[in-house]
Amino acid sequence: MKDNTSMMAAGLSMQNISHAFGQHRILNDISIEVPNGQIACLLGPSGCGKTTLLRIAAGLEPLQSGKIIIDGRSMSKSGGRSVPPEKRNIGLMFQDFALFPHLNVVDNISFGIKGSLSERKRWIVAGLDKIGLAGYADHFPHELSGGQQQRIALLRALAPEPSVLLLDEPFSGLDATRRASVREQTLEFLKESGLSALMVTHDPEEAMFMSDNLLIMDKGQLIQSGPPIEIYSHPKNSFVATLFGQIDVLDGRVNNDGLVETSLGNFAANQIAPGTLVDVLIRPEGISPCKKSHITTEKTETVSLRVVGARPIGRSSHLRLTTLSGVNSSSIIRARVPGIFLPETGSLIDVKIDPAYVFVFAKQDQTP
Amino acid sequence: MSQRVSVLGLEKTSVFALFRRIDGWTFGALLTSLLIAVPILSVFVVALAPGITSSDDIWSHLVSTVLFHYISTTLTLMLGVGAGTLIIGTGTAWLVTMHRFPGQSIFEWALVLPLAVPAYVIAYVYTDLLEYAGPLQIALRGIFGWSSYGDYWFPEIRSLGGAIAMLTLVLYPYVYLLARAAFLEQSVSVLEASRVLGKTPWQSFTKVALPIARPAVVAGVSLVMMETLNDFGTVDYFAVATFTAGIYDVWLNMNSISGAAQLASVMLMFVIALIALERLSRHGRKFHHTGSKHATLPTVPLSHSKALLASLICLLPIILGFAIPAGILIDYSLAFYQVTLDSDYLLYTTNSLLLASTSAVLAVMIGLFLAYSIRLHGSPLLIGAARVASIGYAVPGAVLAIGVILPLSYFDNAVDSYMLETFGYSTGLILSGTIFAVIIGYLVRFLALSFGTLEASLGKVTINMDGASRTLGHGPASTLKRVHLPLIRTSILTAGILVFVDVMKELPMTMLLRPFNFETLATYVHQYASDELLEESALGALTIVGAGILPVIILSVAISRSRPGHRSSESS
Repeated sequence: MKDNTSMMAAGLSMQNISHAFGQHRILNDISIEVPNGQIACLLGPSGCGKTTLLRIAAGLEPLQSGKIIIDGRSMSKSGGRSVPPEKRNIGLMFQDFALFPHLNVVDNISFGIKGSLSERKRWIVAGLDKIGLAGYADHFPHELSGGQQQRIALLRALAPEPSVLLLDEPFSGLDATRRASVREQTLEFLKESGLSALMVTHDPEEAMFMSDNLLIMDKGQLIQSGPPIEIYSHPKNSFVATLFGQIDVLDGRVNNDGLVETSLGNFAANQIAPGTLVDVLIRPEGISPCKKSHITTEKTETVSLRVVGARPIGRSSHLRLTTLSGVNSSSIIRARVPGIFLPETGSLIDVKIDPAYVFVFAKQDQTP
Repeated sequence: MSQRVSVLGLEKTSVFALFRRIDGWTFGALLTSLLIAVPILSVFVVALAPGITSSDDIWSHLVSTVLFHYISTTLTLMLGVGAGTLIIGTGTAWLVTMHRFPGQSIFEWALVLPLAVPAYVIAYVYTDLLEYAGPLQIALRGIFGWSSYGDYWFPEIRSLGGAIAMLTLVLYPYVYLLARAAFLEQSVSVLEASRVLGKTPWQSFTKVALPIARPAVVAGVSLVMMETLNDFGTVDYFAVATFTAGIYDVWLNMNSISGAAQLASVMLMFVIALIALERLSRHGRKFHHTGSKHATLPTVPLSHSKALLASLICLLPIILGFAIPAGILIDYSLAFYQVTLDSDYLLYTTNSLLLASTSAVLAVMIGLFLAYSIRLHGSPLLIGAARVASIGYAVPGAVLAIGVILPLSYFDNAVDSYMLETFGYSTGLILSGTIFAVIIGYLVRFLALSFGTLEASLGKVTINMDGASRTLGHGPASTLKRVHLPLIRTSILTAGILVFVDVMKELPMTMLLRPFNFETLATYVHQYASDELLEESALGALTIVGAGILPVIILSVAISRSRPGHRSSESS
């Protein structure tokens, strides 16, 4: 589609961005870098300020404090003004796609193209072909499905050859069955075009799938950033750990051996001082059933748990388990087991817990 | 968050920083708003600082003679018309939205028709019909054998009561439209809940539907009262001494602009009260939507006799407010069109058309510019300025005329004395008493129509359209041209037509601001009718009514589309 050597864009850099609506502080000293060719995802709950950050990058929201550099060019001008959005050479994809309802597919895509249209005609035709909408050039947006609109919006944003692409919840307008395939296609498309992209989402699966670099935001602050698998495996605090879906929390206290004793066994406390009250977070996918015979040979610690309920949910089974004794005897532990595994309610099963899915954080409130 | 338009940080930045951020759009919009607001502000200045104009003692004369009569007459007129339109407007709206009876779907839009007839036109027609020498009294005398005035009692049409009746007949559609919309907006579940909880349809109306619709009804009545206050033709023709008639009398007959200005400033208090009433009622609209389910309203089928009665009730205002006046005008026009054509009708029509189209184009351009600037940079300062600039719709034409003439003559006098001193040459009046002054007056009064229509229409375009266009490399002007204009095309036309028609009908400002011997259709018809020559000018009056039909058609189309219940039942 595009000659990769000519796409040596320097990416997007936002430094020390703070922002407020009136008295209400939205962003607090946020710095992010999206190097050339990378896809970064801003992940956080709604209202955390991620969309505002994106709109500031696009120039749709005035820059109040901080610095933005796109493609090596500062977006601040003298006199406190910012470079307007139309002069930033960025592409922006909206949550509602924002296709122009009065223009057909081709006119929508060529809306941002500067200069000779005939040169880019071939690109548009090839693009439409690639996204499987070759015959739709004359269609109007209202005649297209959500997935088709999404792909047209992507093509429209890419048509003026921006140096940075910004995406605001680009898949949330699609129904669950379509989302996965559109997502794959979009990722392929972005990687092929080789430009830097910053995407905003509240869907952790989407964020992990799309990003080279994952940025976790909460209440206007950047909490953690890094490769997605790094953040998934080593969340900085319980907020980050909780973002990736259901997780069970056990209370505990660090003993003198640097371990936390819980009803599910002992877990390493990772340098938290002895005596500290802690939360032990266990991902459901970290709990797996095992056969008795194995345990005796391997020296892995196992726990017996009582089955409270088991439901099949397609590719995996969802178990609700409870301990037989201990401080947390009344609490429910959830487990995600691959395949069909439906033990009877009330029966006992042995499980082992993968320490890679267990996170120990000191409690904020240390009064027992 | 994504719907948020950037807000100029008024609270945190210094004045210097504020001015740095003001770009061409904001500056232009502020300047335009200020210019439009000058006449309105002039009247306020006169009201607050009467010393500026009261060089003669006409004021004390007015106070001791006519002022309190003006006040009581104006109040009676406003209350009478308010009550009349409240009953007819709400009653018919309730009938057509909540019941099924013969002709109901026709009445739904036909009830708006009287809006096409200016109050002064209906006043001429009914005077012609009902006066002593009119066909009705002649017929009655013939039937009953009465021979003279003393033999029988017949209501005098040229009276305060007559004026109330005339204004009510053509203004009730304002209340009807807003009440109807409010009834339709109501969530069906709320009404159904009332029925399920044991209330009859009538109880549901009085206890649920009407209280919920009250803010809309109040807004409608306050609009009606603004129009009543604005009316000049009817009260002048009926010799009812209201403020508007008084301003005209003091200005043109007593030749005292300052006296007129002082009357205007008293009248302004009425206006402020009405604006407050309308704003308050809009504020109260908040409690409208508790549920969003807009299924078809549960209409009550009526029994034969009740259905007949309902049809008659709805038919009566249409016949009285539209069919009879239009019929008589058509009748006269057919008989006398040659006389009308001979009396410079074409010239007056051309004058009216030119004024109306110029004002419409300008009002749409200014309105669009203001609305789009606010969309670009919705600073509180700019929004406030635009609000002030669009207050003209509430200020009566006679008052605005004073607001236009004061600054213009000040400007003329300043230029004149400067030229006389410097070059020994008098320029005389440059702007006052010209077409320019008339158009300024129209713009100040009718800007709210175009601005309001276009602002609402732009508001329906998602802000992401702007974002998409801007990030695709198009600046604000290019975005307006390539995205917004095509999207709001229909509303631009609507806004233009609304202003066009109101200028065609406008009488009081035109009378006061027009150049000497310059006639529009409205002033010509008023002049002829005042001279008891209605037949001869009927074609002119009919032309005005014909133009007035245009917005009625627009409203009718809107009515047939604005039935959320019907739409949702189609799609589900």
